[in-house]
Amino acid sequence: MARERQRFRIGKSIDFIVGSIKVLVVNGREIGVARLRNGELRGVMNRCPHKGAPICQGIISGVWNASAPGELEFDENRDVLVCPWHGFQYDLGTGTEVCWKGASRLRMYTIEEGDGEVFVFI
Amino acid sequence: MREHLRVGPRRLIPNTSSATFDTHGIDGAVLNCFDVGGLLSAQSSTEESIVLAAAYNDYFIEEWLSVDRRLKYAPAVPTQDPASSAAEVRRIGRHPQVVAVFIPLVNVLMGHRYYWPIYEACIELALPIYVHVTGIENIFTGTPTLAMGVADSYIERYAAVPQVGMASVASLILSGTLEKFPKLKFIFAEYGFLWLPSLFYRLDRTWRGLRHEVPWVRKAPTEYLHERFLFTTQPCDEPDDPKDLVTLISMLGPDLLCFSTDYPHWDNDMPAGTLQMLPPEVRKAVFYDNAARVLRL
Repeated sequence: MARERQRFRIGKSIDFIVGSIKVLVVNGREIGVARLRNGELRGVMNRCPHKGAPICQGIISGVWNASAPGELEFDENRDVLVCPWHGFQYDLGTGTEVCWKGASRLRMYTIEEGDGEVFVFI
Repeated sequence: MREHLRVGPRRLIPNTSSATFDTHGIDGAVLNCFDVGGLLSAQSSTEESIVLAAAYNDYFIEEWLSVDRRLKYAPAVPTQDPASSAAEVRRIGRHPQVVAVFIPLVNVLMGHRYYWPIYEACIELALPIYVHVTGIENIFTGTPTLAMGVADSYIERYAAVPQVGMASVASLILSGTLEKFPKLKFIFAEYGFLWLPSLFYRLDRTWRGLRHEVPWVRKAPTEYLHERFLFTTQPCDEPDDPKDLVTLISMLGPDLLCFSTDYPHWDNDMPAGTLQMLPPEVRKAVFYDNAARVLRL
């Protein structure tokens, strides 16, 4: 039987700014909360699935799309979290690694936002 | 001295090849002239290399391919001049027993656009690229260089030659050349294959972190490896325990290998004794299916 998730208040809406990730300790867990370019919030465990790095110390970037040889095409509309250790890239919209087909994804937490308040479910 | 010479490998000459096929149950063999590789890549002038390539190719087509249809051929191109190489592919590439094109490598990475005219001609004729050690790497100017200088001995150079295979495979993938030529396939002969796990574990891991450098690499390097490459088995670098080789080939995937002998060269693998420990389905892939899939048969 699944454990019932608990709801924690983690701040005000204005605390979370597009393009940055704020690391909070909630109920003993380090959770990074980022605001995407489309305004949605995402909560992720501060641990890279690759080697356990504190991934929320990385940058939020766009992504270099697959292009023809020798051509560069930067998609700035995607929100990609780049691990500070080995550079692995994860799409904050879905939690999946940008290019790898294998099982590799961020641990995501549900975020709720309303009336200027932000909550996380653990 | 004469006795010593007589114990060397018996030369396979055109008029004995049919009997050899029948005796050993061989459905087909690809001929590749070793000598011409060195001559065309560096031991002749560019002009000479164009004439020599045509002469060698005509000789093999006339004297060998006419003997038995089971004899196939990978004609050599004068790599010093890519335009002439492409012309040579178009001149003889429609012969039904031509099954691949042999590019004697010069000191240019295989993903470089230098080779594109040759690749375009091969695509036109649905021929895979075949590269074979030329034996003069790092000796003559213009040949592929080996890491950190000139080796003191033949054995040292022989042991280092797989570097050329490693660099070539990585270059073809990372340059985007495989994306530019999505149907082109490659056969690497005599460069070994047990270095593949090391190279591709590194390539896959590094691509996941550094793909922003090469966004045209659309999928994991290992995916390109299995779709586009084949490696011949000779010289088979065998561990002491044959079971370890079975494990290593299982790690690689049996779709990557193609049996070869290097016969009648001094370091050939014996057809009756090589890779006997492999399970039957893997032997079938290595001794038949993989070659049939990649060569233009």
